[in-house]
Amino acid sequence: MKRNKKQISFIHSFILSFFLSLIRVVSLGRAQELGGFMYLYGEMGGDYFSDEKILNFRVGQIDLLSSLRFERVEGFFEAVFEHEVVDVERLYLGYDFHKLFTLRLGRFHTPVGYFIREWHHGLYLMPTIRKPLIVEFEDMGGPLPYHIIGFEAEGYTDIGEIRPGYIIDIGTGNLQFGASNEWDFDKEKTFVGKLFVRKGFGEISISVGYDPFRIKGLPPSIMHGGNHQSMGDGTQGGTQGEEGEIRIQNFLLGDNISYNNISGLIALVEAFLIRDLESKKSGWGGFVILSYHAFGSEVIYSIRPYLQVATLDWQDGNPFFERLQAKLQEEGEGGGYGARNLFNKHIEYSAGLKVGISPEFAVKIGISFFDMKKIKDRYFISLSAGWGIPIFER
Amino acid sequence: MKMLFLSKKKVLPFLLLFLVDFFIITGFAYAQEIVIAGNPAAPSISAEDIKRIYLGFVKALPDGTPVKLLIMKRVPEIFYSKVAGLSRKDFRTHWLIKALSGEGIPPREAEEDEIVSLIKSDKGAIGVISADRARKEGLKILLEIK
Repeated sequence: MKRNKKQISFIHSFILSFFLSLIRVVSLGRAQELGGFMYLYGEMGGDYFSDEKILNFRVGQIDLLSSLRFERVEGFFEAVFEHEVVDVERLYLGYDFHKLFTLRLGRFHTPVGYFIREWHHGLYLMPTIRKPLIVEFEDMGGPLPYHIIGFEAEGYTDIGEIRPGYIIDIGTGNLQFGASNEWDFDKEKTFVGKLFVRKGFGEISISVGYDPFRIKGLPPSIMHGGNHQSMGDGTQGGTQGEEGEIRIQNFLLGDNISYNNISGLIALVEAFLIRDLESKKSGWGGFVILSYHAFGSEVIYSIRPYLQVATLDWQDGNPFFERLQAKLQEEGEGGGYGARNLFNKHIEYSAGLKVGISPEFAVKIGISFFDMKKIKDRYFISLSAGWGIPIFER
Repeated sequence: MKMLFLSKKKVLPFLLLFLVDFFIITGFAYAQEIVIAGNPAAPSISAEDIKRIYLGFVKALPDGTPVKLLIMKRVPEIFYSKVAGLSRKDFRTHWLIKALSGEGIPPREAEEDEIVSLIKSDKGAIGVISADRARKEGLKILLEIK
């Protein structure tokens, strides 16, 4: 994820040091009772963009994550190293009171849908080469709240082979447009909840969420139109804020049907509705992913072809989309992947191949076609390689 | 350059001996009976639940005790096919994804002595070890893998 340049803060350093010290101290004293791991993931790749005729090579993220478990206490830490930025991606402590109730405090990935939590970083583990736009990271145009800092409650029960359960997150407002890791001094708080039913490798779930935040710097057509009444001083009627600021209250509704068997079929269908309660404008989208383990041997661990169809539509005048467009144009990111966010109707067709050399290393190649108004016959060809290295396993 | 030529008469016996030893040893390994063992105080677990536990779909014993998963080093392939229903590499990949998503800690690979020690000291620990060792140590046999 992109952030402003910053060093790891003193608080982050302290927490990281505490975690590493905990590993060392507890492992010395109670080695047999401590479980945990530390892995390092990385990826690199290249893309060819047909309309701009540009070949782009890139180094992706390096992801360091660690988990510890001691009796009913769990801890999790994940840092993402991207470009010049170190991002604390996840950091939480939790206590397992009962299978019906586990409580966590910290920074999490929200439980919206299935894809977001299952394949967040460590992209080489993903069955496709690129995420569908609707589940992209917030700073790459994804409209869903992926990250949250606050409380999380999770629980499940077992009815034969069926496992119904829930996950609820309550915490900071939108971390792209509002809060940050250090600051959330406003009344905008996000809620995300998910009810799921699992059986073996399959899951059906429904997600709901409320994601409010304030956006600055929208074009005049948005600031003075729609359902918002201009007060003549740059602020909007009914919303007290800084000049040129507008309030968005996204209501989210999503559902997912998934089957994820690493040795066979991976099938995933997700759909989302995003409605701004302020402007009454909506967006909707979803995707279908199909992948199958077609071949494996001692030399090549796995060959998996995949198909992906993804769509994301915004109603004209949706302020979130308008701000996203403006942001892309300001930052000059309308090329490459950014083009996916330039138009409010977007369909992407993708196909490709994932070749797993081993469980720790995979190469992927894919081609994506876009059907957007004003741009026809636009396609990407992408190649990526990724790996996961265990540093510590216990 | 002096070339060392080995006659068939000299090479073949050693090759045959090696092959015989190899298949005896590996055959011995595959013939080793393994079980899923637990603490004597642990509750009984169904075969289906044991599979779900080793795939990370269940994180506690039927009585709510958090489970700790153990697998002995160099465990025969039959464990993966019979219990997890996956190949060894697929099992590894499955757990790499689960670890990354924060859904669990992969089973720990350990020597049999360490597994026995952990099982005896922790009611929630279950491990894959040889049947002979499990019976000798008085552990609870949760599942025989055949």
